[in-house]
Amino acid sequence: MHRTLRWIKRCINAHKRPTEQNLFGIVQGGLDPQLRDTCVKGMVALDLPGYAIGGLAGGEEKDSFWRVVAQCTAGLPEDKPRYVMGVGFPLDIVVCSALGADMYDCVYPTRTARFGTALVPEGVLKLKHASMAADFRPLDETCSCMVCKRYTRSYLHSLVTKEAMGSQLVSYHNVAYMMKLSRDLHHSILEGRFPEFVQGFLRKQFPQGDVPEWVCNAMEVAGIDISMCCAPLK
Amino acid sequence: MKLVVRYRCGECRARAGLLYLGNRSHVLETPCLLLCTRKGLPTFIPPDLLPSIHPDALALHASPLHFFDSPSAKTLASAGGLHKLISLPGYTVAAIARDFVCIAEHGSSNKIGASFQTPFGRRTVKPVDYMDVINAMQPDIWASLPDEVPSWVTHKRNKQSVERTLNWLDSCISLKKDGMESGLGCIVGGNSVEERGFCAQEVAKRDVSGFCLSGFGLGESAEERGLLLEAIMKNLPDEKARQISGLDLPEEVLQAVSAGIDVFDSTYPHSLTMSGLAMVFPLDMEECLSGRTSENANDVGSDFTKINLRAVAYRNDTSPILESCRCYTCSKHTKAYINHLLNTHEMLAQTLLDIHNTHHYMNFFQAIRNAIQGGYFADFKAWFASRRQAVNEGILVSSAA
Repeated sequence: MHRTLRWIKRCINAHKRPTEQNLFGIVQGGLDPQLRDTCVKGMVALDLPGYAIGGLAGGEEKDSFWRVVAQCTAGLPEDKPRYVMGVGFPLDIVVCSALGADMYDCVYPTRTARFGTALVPEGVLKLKHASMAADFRPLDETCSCMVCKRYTRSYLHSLVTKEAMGSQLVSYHNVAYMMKLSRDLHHSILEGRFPEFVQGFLRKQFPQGDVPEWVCNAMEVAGIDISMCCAPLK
Repeated sequence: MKLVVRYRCGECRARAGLLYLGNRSHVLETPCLLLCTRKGLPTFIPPDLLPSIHPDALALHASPLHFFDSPSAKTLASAGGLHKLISLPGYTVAAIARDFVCIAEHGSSNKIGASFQTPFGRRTVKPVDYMDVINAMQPDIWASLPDEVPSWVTHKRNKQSVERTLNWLDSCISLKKDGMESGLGCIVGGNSVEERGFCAQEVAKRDVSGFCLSGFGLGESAEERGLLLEAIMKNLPDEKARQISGLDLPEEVLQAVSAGIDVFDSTYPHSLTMSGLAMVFPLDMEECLSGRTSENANDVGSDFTKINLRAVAYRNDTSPILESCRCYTCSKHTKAYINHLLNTHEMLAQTLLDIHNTHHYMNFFQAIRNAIQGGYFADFKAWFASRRQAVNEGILVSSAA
């Protein structure tokens, strides 16, 4: 964390094109709230065009992950972009967006496509599974991408992991899915129906109501009521 | 299927024309090139990019051998045929059992069926299984199941392959679904002029829509090929289409066009792509002879046919593969970028190379058709051969050779 603060100052000094390029500082500090606090304050003092939240998406417990994101978004300026690096799963993106993050990057959609997994509103579709061989539906009935318009799960089942075209087509759909998710988040916030969007999203992913505890906790802090999506505790 | 010959070369058997398919909904200008595919779709070029490769890029070669595992004939039938499965209804599909994925194992074939080494193991394909797939595919063009052998087999094995191929042709014809077009009859015979001639005569007697010249590109020399083609052609009716598989190099294509071939399926663009090579041979005879094109003498290791984009020399080369090329790759990207993609093992390298190589090869076929139509095909072929000769003799040499 300290090294990162030293390096951002060196980066700023060495940056020759500050009016053409946006140099974001990355907040580090692991899972330690005090280190994170020091780093956020140090970054904010430098008045950068935007801030990234780094050091996450490394397989840490989700319960720790969301708390760090929440702490950082609370401490970073409201009027500058917050970029959570390496996130991620659609669920993680929805949670981080609820906590106030704006930008994401991740290899997940394309990497999982190469291994034969398609992203759908219900979660994931494992195309290698034998049941897909005779499934003549598109990947996602609600998706309007080129792949869902043309191809069935059955054909894609025969292509994935064996043909380069399989990687291409499933990647295409997965990227389209992520783009749609971003658009939907964006419009639902603008139109004042973000909580409803989150509720709909969680219902689709967890039809039995088994929303993970960390999501419930995070949404509580974010001020989004998802009680209707969660099955009553035993 | 109906071939209408419109132009002929005065000095050889080359002809240019139109191939009408189905209920005249598809028309191909011949001599034409079929694009190679895996399980129905091109290897690296997704369906939404196909139209941009070339206006002629509308005909696919789909090998029936890809449909013996997954997707199966049953899946094809449920989908309503290959056109529906791959979602390319306006395209011409030719089903011919010769491709770069499944390799014929002439040593394991027997009188029951032909043996192939496939990604899903060794398979013996009987005519009845073969026609199951053909009937399920509903292709616009299809060929019978041949017993292909390379040029070095014994005389006995060669005769056996002719006998089997004719038997299997008769089986395929009888197993064809009602309402489907008759197929191309496969002609084998290895390196024997007598067997080739005999097989051609026999196939010509059957109810076929055209002829599939099998067993080429399997070890015969260019001289031998010329004699074998002549032995076949003089026994075939002029008005039926002739298709050949297994030829790659431009010179081989020119030789076959000269002999009267109309339809080609070739894996040449694909095999260049897989080696990180890009086609650069000039196509415009007039431009080249007048010295108006500038062949870049700095192309390292170039034989003016292709360049190796893995070469370190291209690391900072911000020019396109070919200045005069209007394909997507040459319009948008540089040799330096493709060199980088190859080094970082990104699939985009193969996609970009495939687009360029396919585009260039299709342009080559257009140049052939133009030459036949314009009455200068013999000159065009001679010019091409002289360039290769010049390279071999070191007259056309790159500065780094």
